[in-house]
Amino acid sequence: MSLLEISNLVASVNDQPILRGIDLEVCAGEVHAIMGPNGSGKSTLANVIAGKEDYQIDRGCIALEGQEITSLSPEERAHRGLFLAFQYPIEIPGVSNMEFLKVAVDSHARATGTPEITAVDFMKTARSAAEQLGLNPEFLKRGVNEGFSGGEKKRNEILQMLMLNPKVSILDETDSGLDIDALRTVANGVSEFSNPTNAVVLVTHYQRLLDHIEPDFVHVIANGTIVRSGDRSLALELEEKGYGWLEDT
Amino acid sequence: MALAHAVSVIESLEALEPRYFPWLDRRSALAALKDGTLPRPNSESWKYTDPAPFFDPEDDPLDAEESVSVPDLPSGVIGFETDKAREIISSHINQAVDQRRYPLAAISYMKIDSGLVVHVTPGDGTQSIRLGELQGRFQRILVIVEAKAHLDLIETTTGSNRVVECFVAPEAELRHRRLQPAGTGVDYNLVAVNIAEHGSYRLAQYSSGARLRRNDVSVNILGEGADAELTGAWQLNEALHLDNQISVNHLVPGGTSRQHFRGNVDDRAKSIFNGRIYIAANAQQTKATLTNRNLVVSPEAEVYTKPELEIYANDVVCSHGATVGQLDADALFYFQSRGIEEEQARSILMKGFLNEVVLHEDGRALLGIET
Amino acid sequence: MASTDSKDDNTLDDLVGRDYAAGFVTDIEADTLPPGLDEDVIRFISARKSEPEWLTQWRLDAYHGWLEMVEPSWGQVQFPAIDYQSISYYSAPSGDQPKTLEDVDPELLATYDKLGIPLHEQAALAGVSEPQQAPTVAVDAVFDSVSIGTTFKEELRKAGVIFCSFSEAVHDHPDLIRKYLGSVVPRGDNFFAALNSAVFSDGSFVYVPENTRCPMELSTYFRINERNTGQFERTLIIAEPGAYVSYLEGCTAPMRDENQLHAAVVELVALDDAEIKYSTVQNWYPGDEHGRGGIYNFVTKRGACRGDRSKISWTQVETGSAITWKYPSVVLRGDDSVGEFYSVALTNNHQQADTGTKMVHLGKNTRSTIISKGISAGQSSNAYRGLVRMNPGAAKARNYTQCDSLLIGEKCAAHTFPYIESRRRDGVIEHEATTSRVSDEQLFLCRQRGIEPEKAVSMIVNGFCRDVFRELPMEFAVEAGKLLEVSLEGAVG
Repeated sequence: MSLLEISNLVASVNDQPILRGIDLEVCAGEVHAIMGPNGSGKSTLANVIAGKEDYQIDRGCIALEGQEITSLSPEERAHRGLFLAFQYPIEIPGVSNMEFLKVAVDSHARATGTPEITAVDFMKTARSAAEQLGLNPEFLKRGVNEGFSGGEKKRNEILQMLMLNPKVSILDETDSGLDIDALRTVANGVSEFSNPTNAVVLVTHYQRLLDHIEPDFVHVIANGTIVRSGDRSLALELEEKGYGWLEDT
Repeated sequence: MALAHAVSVIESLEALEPRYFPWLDRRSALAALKDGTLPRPNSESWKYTDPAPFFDPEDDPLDAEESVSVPDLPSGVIGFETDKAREIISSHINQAVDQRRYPLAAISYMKIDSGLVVHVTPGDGTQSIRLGELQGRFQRILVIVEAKAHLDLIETTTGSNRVVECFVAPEAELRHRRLQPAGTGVDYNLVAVNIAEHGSYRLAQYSSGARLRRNDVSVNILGEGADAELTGAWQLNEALHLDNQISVNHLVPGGTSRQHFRGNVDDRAKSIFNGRIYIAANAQQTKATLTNRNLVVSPEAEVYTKPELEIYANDVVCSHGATVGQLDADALFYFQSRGIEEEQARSILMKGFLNEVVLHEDGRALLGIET
Repeated sequence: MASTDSKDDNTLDDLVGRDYAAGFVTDIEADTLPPGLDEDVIRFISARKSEPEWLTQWRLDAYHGWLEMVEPSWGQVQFPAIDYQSISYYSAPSGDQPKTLEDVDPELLATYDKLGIPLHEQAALAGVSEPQQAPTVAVDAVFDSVSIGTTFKEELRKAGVIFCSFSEAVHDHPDLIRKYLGSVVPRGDNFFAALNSAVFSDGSFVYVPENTRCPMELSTYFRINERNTGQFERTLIIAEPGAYVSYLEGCTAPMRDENQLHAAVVELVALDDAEIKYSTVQNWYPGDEHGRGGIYNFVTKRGACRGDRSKISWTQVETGSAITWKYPSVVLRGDDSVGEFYSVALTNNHQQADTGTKMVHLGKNTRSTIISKGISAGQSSNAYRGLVRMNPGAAKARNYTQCDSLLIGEKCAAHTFPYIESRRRDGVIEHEATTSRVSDEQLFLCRQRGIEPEKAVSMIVNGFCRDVFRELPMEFAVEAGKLLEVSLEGAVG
């Protein structure tokens, strides 16, 4: 069943075209990887799907579980099961991670009409998810990303993903800035999260992450379009030859 | 200063027959003086310095017989009295000075008796020009750095009323080093700077005090990418007085500025510092910081500091910090534990404290902190 | 640091209800003086309260002093001139003052019910029996210019604590009033203090005896009901050596078209080892979106740390008022005394605030802490104006100041004017200020996590104010959080 469908998406920022026609279909149970050189439009694609306001959609549409979301606000898209793990997670001083998560989880519950989780259950779940990701549960009391190292910020993004249980997760360069151990922990978390009812899209520059999370499909973006799609072996080919050879073909 | 005094100041100015440069149009100055208000004691910008001695109506420009042209001017510098200066003077003068906000500059303009134009073009290479003692009670120095040109200006201030007005053109660079030796009288100095897009202005000010010394600094950020960095250090002893009023005005988006001033105040000296960051409503994406640190050494020293933020735009990053204190006791003890006597330890730490903002040897010499 | 907060749970519903909750008018016959101010008005007020001659004379002297003074005009605040002769200086519900709650006009009690004030003793007592509840609060309610009833008189009486209306104190404790009135804020101190000293109507009086910890938090609610009535409260709190008291002041006001003046004076006296904690959650009507109506809030609040090791803390959350002009101060005279100021000032629409604090260090080893958070939204203007002064005798004085501004939207303004005056070589003053805004990135993060933009802004703003909210007594902390949300509505475009 198609969870995320992008058709002929053309988007620009400040009248500069960045995405020049993207087609992508992600079905339940799948893991996709989107790779590409810097400036190819990878992060732009992730942000446009999530609904960031700076971007203008000139043509095409994005659908989540068959429903068009191009006109929806970011929080509405989130309520329908979309999650974006940010490339550069931002700090929110004075607002604790715990509070932030609870408010987010409650917002989702209200929007979907599901009963709210009790504070006790919530804390239990949050703590065990934190431990699973190698994060000291004490960090939940600190401000959102406040004073976090790069790796901790990325793990915090995955923690939020686990707590919000989205249908479609887009992880924007989640592997950048992680050391080997953190990478493994994150990758395990994502692999365990992935199941037949949800989908994960990994946006990444290096194929390193894909050693730990096996993608079903690999797409290469260059100059705002997907120039090549394949399976895992495509990633290995890129690793060997770099991105340059694609421009030639 | 009672109102009567203010009236007599203005009356005497109206009656003034300009002795020098009669071709200068002084109407704007008089209008500004009448339109604005002359400061009273305890008015905001004269809260800790008595303004009356600065506004002495008896204070006259030099007699016409005294020569004011400075011989041996460096190249790039011409006197106001030269014919070829007129055009550049007329097109620039008072464009950077807000005469309502700085009435002493307006008075200075009306009574002007000495003027210099420093004009640097890209073809001149990196110029280094020294300006020291100038004759004249009411001095104006116009500094024009054309696009992509560079100028190092080294200025020694004197006991007088001096206005230095600078224009930094696009992509030009003006590095202004200012030395203010101790004085015995009442001095006033205004530095007013307009910086165009991607222009850069650096001020390094090293000061001692005077009987009363007032420095006004007004920097206008007028183009995107314009940058101002103002640093200063002062060492005040005996009963000397120093009042620094700095205002960096971000009037357009995309400018950056940093202010860092440190002072050491001893004996019965008095230090006043007001650093203002002003950000206009459209000046988005401004980044501005201000730091003022004061060391107080003696029981009778007085420090007054007010770092101000006046912000009308929301997409800005701004911070300021100010401290008043004494030398770190732990640091002192550390020195002493290594056998260094307290007196010497204090001296070393104090020098180190000021040295953090001192970039020039002659600055160190003036402050008495050479190593 | 922060911990789980359940106070955010019902805020979505509160946000949806857009009306200013306390915007209704009580229909009660009131005794109101015609507008104007002269000696007769003052004598009338004094006579109505059966005041002793010395107090009447005290008022008159203040009035004559006021006539010589000029209304202050500095500050970042602009307002049309106030015509002091067009204001009525006294308004009270008709009839003699009630002796017990049963005598109080039931309409009045209903009004207080609507505002959620636990006036009725039984309701409050029911709260006591549940151990998990917030500590009990004794309430002295002021309706326009007269104090209506006071709860918990008995318990306080047992502890020796006096908590009553100012008018009652004049009769029952004239020595204390005479000794302390005007000793912290002299009549000639400033224009509005002089006016208040002449026409003050009523307020609270608190006296805590030696070595006594007041057994509950004390609270007073204010209301300004009648048109054109200035409200001029006078509050005096005295803490004897070793005493402790926590006092809450919260205000609401109905919608009005003309501006209404509020010029109160609060004097605090803390003797050796005593501590006074004074918290305010200010909820005056701020004027409509076009800036019409709303309360002018010009207040003089000063605490005197007279005793050694005494402590005075001011904690305030200001969101209402068309114009706020107040600088709660502490004079640190006693050795080792401590002054604290924690403030959140939020301005929206066309509000103007010029507020801050003054810490004056006189004694030895004194300490002051200032944490001020200003939030500007809409087209408002928010200025912090502070003074930290260390006098020559203030050996080893310490001050730490943190003032931060948060700008929401593009047309608002935030200013900081901290005056630092040091005439001590061994004093330490540290001042920091930052200005920032709710960034697009922060907003997008919250929204991508499913949090609606208004909720996101209020969460971020709450986080910004955390250091101050932490200092508020618990029930005020909850009210403060909700108040911020209501006041921020419309600020997120």
